[in-house]
Amino acid sequence: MFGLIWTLGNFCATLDPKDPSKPQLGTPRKIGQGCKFRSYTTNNYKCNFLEVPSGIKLVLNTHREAPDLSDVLQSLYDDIFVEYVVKNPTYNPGQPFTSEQFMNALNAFLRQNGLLQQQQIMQAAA
Amino acid sequence: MSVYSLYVINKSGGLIYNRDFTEAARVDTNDSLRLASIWHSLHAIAQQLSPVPGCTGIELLEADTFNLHCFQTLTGTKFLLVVDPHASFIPALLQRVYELYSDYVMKNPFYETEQVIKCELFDENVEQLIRRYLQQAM
Repeated sequence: MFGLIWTLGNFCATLDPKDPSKPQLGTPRKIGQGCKFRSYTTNNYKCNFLEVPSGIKLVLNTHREAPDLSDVLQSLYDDIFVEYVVKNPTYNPGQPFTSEQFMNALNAFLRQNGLLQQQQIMQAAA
Repeated sequence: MSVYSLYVINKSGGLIYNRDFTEAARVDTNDSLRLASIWHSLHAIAQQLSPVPGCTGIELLEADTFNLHCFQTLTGTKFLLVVDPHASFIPALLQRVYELYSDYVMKNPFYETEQVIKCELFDENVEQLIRRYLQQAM
């Protein structure tokens, strides 16, 4: 999945029709540089993506009909990830983490937004 | 409200047709070849990554400044259209491009399948179709 996301990011930056100084395919790309990839839809799922300036990537797979979820992902990062994970003194940046508070807050947030139904997978990959 | 470019990819992932409709969308020839192969692989990986069974690959890619629509035929040929995020009725447009492809490319007796498309009639008709679409959109 990481390879897919990373390549899609580079792909979008190179294909950008509005950027006069877009990077050549294959050159290393800094975080946040170039046109950003937001989501892709297939015939039975939609993958929403957000990359924050620290490099953390949030991937949310939803139903195909889901609307633009970039605000949802941003508030997910701001209100839940930062609150319960980054501010946790035992969290090692870049390592996998398990935090009940995070899971609970996450479930509550998604339920509140009407997003939690049968098949929802949320992964935060550093 | 514009269409930036059209790419056609054969079933092995090679680029067989590339057309840019605006100057801004121009991508280096080498890059466009690589982009096509990369897209082919990404399409397959997204299919594998599907959380529910029965996925047939990426149909729409949304980015900040453009949307990329992909139409895959039953034979594995992919038609990619890079458009403005506000463009509408693109799946229908892709369907029309596919019809033009089957008329002017497939029925051309000198065209070998999976090779680069060099059919004038196809070029002209695609140009006309896009122009008509853009006029209607205005």
